Amino acid sequence: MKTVLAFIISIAGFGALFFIIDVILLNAQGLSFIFRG
Amino acid sequence: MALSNKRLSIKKVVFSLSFLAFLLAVYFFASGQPVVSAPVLGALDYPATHGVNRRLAVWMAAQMHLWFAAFVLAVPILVLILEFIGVIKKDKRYDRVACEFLRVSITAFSLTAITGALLLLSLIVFYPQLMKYLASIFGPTALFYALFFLFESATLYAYYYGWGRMSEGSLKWVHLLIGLGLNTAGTGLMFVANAWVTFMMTPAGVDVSGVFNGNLWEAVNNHLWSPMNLHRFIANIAYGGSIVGAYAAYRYLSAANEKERAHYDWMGYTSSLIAIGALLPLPFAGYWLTAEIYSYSQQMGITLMGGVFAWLFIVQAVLIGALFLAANYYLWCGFGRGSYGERYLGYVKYIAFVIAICFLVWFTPHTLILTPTEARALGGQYHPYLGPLGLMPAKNTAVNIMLLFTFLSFLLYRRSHRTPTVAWAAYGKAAQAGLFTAAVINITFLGVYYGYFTNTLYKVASSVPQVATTLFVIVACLVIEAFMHRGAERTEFRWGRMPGRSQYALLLIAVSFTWLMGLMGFVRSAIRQHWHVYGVMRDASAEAFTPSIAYAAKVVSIGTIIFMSIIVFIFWLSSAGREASDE
Repeated sequence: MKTVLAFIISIAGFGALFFIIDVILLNAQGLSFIFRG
Repeated sequence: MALSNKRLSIKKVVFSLSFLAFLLAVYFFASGQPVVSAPVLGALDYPATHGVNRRLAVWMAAQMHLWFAAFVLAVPILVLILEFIGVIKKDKRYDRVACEFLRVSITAFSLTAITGALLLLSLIVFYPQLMKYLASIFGPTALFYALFFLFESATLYAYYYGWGRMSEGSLKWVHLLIGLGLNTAGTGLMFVANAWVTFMMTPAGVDVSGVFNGNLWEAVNNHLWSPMNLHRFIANIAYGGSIVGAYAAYRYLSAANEKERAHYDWMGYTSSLIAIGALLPLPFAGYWLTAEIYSYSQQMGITLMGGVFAWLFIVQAVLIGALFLAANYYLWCGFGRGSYGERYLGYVKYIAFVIAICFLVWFTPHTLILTPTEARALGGQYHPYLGPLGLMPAKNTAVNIMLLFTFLSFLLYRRSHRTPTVAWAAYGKAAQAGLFTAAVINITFLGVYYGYFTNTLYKVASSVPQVATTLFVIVACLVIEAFMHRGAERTEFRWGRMPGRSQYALLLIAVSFTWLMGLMGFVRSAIRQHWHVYGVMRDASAEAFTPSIAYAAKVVSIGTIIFMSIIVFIFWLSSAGREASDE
């Protein structure tokens, strides 16, 4: 039961982290350090 | 002994001849006179070739040179890393295998110099005006090229022949430093050559008529220089690993005893690990390269991915898909090396299923080649259900998930010989499973939502967080794995127990890499279309047209066969040399 809970918390936690990374990287300012155009 | 002396003298002669030709070429390049503007060429500016197809001649010379160069630039990197690991771990096994890697590549160094000299000479003979124009801009860089070449040759011979003499104590560190010098020179050499090639695609430091503004750095640091440097650097490592892996497979299949088989099994695993490890970030470097092409010229980008060349990306998808399947298959066979491998065999079918689905999505074409009757029956050029899978967002999603599941195969392989004993192991595994699940959801969401329901800017941009997600999973999983397996129960891997068919997977990886490099190298070069220097210097020769895909595929395939035949010969030569030195 605890393992299942750990699995669900991990999905939520890492999901939130990925969402923040997505928002930062999808911002044009965030991308400008990679692409010149 | 006699054999090795004879080989050494042959090498010296061959190397001296190629070096002489190289110096001639450098002289030609360095003596370039300032040109006012890019010359407007006519058919008479190209010397008669007396039946020789000049484009084909340069194409083959360039292709052979690039294959050999990629191999000989990469192997010393692998060798240095392995030698360093051997010193840190105090494990002689790494040292032995590193030395053997270098021995395999040493013959290829001469062939790289020969094919390089052939390429330069054929360019000077067949395309003199182009070479004059390039020399007028890049003349000073030839000096760097020559210096790097000399330094590389000197360090290579010191590194190889000093292996035995500098094997202990502080001399070993000196030896490692020589190896570092060798790799710095090799990489520098490639960077200089990349400047010339990328300038032809995305010229900088010149105006529309090709007048050079005198800023050499601007011409060198053009749009594609950095992404090409990165892409080639990573790709070379993957390629070098795959060729050495093929060598190990060749030796494994012909091994005479258990000891030899165990040695080459380990060598094959190590080199394929390096090849696949370098392959994982390669699509991202390729994506950067492509983004810069679009950024420089939308038209060039559309020619690359939306025009006739798009079909070669389907061929690329098939080859890379085959490569991933082969790599996964090799890892799955490797479960048998560990004592706990059997417990993971049940997962193989699910991983195989996901990879097969991703593979199918990756090579689904967007625009189908149809007869009018077929198009009418289908209701258009695009398939109503499969059509969306032909777009890049679907392919990016598939590639990232394929990479994740290949990494999963690797994780399971690593667990096949160890089992964690820490109290929180079950939670650690749950966290890893959660990480994978969240990553797959995020990658799919980015691909579907931003790929199909927002504007084009986000469609392209969403690939970056997809990549970031994949890289994050790889790093985070490895960190959890390292902590979780502290003090784990371990058994030794049983090397030499791989089935013979697993070795054919290694051979397939090497052939796929070679073929891929040829095909995609053609695409990269051919998107200049009828320009020597894109938008600046027009190609007026009779061959200034884009050949059909079938023709290009035939040329590259024949090149691949020739190159692989030479490589097999090198393998045989290395084996003969080893046997002679053993005697």
